[in-house]
Amino acid sequence: MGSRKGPSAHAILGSGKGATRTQTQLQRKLKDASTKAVAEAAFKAVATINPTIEALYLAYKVAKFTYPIVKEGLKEYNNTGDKDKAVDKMKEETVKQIGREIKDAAVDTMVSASVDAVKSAANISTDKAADTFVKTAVSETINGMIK
Amino acid sequence: MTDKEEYFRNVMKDTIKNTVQTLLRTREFSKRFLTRDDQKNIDKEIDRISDEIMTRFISKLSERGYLENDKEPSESEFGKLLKSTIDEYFGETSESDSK
Repeated sequence: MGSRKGPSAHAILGSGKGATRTQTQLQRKLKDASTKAVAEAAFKAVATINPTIEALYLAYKVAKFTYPIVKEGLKEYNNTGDKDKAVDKMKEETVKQIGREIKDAAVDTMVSASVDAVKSAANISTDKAADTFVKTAVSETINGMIK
Repeated sequence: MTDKEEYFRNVMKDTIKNTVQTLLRTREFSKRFLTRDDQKNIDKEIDRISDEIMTRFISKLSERGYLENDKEPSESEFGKLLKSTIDEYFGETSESDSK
C-alpha cells in the first residue's frame, strides 16, 4: 500500500492548460487522499472542467445553427444528386443565416464562419482547442452527409 | 430518432467521447468500469459507453425542448444536464450538481 494511490493530476487533466479552482482542489486531494477519493475527484474535475463542457456547449449551439444549412444542402442533394449544387445551396443558406456573403464555398470555410458567427451572436468566448473540436466535428458531419 | 437528433449526435460525439475517454484512461475508472476483456478493446468500449451517454443526453435535451430553435439552455444548465447524465452512468453523485 506504499505505492502511489492513483493517477497523477497530469495524467488526468493533461498539460494543465487553463488551470481552474477545480484543478487546484483536485491537486490538493491527489496529495493525500485515498484511491477512492482520487477517482471521485478525477471524475468531478473531468465532468465539470472547461473546456470540455465549453466545447460541447459550443457544439450544441453550432449544431442548432448549422442544421438548417445542412438540411437545405441535403434536400438539394436528394433532389439532384449533385454534390456541387448541394454545396451551393448550403452556401446560400449560410448567407441567409449569417447575413453576409461567404466567398469560398468549401465546407470547412462555411463551418468556420458559422462557428464564429454563433460565438459572436451568443457572446461565447472559447479557446482554440474548443473551436477546433467543434469545427472539425461539424465539418466531418457535413462532409459525411453529402458523400 | 429524428434527423435533427442524429445531426446533433454527430456534431457532439467527439466532445462526449473525449470526456469518457479521459475518465476511462485513468487507472481507477478503467478498473471499475472495464472488464479484463474490455481492457483489450478499450477503444471499442469507449465508443460504446460514449454512445450510450450521448443517447441519454440527447434524450434529455429533446425532452426539455432544447433541440427546438426557440428554446435554449444556459451554458451552466447545459453543463449540469450533461454532468447528471454522466453521473447516472458512472453511478457517482457529484457534490456540485445542485439545482
